[in-house]
Amino acid sequence: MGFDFAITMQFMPEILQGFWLTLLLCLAGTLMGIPIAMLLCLGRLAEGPYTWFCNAVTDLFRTMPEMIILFWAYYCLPLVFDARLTPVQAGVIGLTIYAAANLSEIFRSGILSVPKGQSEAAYSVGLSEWHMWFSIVVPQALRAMVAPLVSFATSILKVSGLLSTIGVAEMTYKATIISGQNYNYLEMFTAAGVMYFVVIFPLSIAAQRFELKTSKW
Amino acid sequence: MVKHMSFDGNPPTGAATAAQIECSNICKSFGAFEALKGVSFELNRGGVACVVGPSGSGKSTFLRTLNGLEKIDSGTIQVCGHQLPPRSMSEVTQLRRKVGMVFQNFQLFPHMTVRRNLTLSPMKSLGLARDAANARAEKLLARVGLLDQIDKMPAQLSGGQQQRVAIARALAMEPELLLFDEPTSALDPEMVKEVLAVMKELAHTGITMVVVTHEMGFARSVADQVSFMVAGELVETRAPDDFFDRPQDARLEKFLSMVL
Repeated sequence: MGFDFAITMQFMPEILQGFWLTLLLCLAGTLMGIPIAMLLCLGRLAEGPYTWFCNAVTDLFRTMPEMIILFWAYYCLPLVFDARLTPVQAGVIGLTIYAAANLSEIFRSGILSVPKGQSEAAYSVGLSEWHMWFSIVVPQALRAMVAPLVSFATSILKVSGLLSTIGVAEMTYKATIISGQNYNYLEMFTAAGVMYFVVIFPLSIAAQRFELKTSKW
Repeated sequence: MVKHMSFDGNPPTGAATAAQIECSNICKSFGAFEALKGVSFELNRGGVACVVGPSGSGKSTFLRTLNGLEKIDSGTIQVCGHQLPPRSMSEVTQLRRKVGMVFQNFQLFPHMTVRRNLTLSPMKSLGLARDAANARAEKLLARVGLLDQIDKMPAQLSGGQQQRVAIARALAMEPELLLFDEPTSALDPEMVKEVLAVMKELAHTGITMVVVTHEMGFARSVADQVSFMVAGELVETRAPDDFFDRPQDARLEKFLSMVL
């Protein structure tokens, strides 16, 4: 069995199309997930009446298989809210929930990794609450978050492949459909696999560089 | 049980006589543990007070109540003309700017240069221009002998150097009162001296200082008053010579016999 480059190149535009959609969906899910994650994180850190709720939401969606979240968004949400969602809409909702729950945990552990003495020092030198957070705590928390954030980016890119199961025409879906029609499984799934590698690998290299750069803290 | 101890020694010449700190009967519990059981304390403007005592006796907790880092359960504190518990949020802000603190573990901001550590709050909180803040930072670093380290990151400095920078950082806000929480306890022995030398020099400048410490030599030679704390109570506050040579309380006597 030989690997046919010609046929790979022939369908490459379609794979790339799927690839762009993959990136866009992940970006959309992440961007919409960030503010929700921030609220969840805030609710969990500021001990208050919402703490248990934010904890529950985070734990629920972090422990649930991504496929269930996705199927629930696509098949069950319409039943509950009486609104038909397109696969892309459902997919973005699913990725947003996934991103919110996972980012909330990353934000929380990042902030908790900054020693309490740092905010006490900020307090004692007279810094405002705003500067305590954004000049002292957040920059240090961000550094602790780099590795988990890269790992999150890696995960959401992989998770987005599941959107193929509800019919979103992202990269995995394209590879499945094209290879099913043309019997070129080897070429299509190899091409898709390589494309995932091409985005994810540079991410981890960049993260390593950043950690080296800030290691003299 | 309430004990009211006040010290009637003479304040350093030239300093105003108004009390800089007046605590009356302050209590603080962590859950079921009573950390402070009715502590009363007074210190005049320009005075240097040392607080000694066994570990876990509440010395640090007491110190941290003085700038509001620990909220008290009952009692009152007057510090630099402000009151705790505070009457308003702005009262806390005012107080924090007048009271500097030096921590056992330095707590420099690790992601900023030494310069930025010293200029950040003067610029952000006091509204100093960059040039003025820089000039102030350079002057203070020269004073603690670290001007040549101004563009280093904290992690590149030794413990003793970090603590001297931390003192300079506190001074950059031009506080009226400086609190030291065991400033030499995390240092290697050879670095203790350089930090104590800076503190000694400071004590003669007329700034009010409260120092929680295990350095009995420092307490004896620099302090105007020394307090002994045990099990959440300030049992004795006296002039250094009386404190060390003629202790009244049996627990203090025992403590001194163990540490001296």
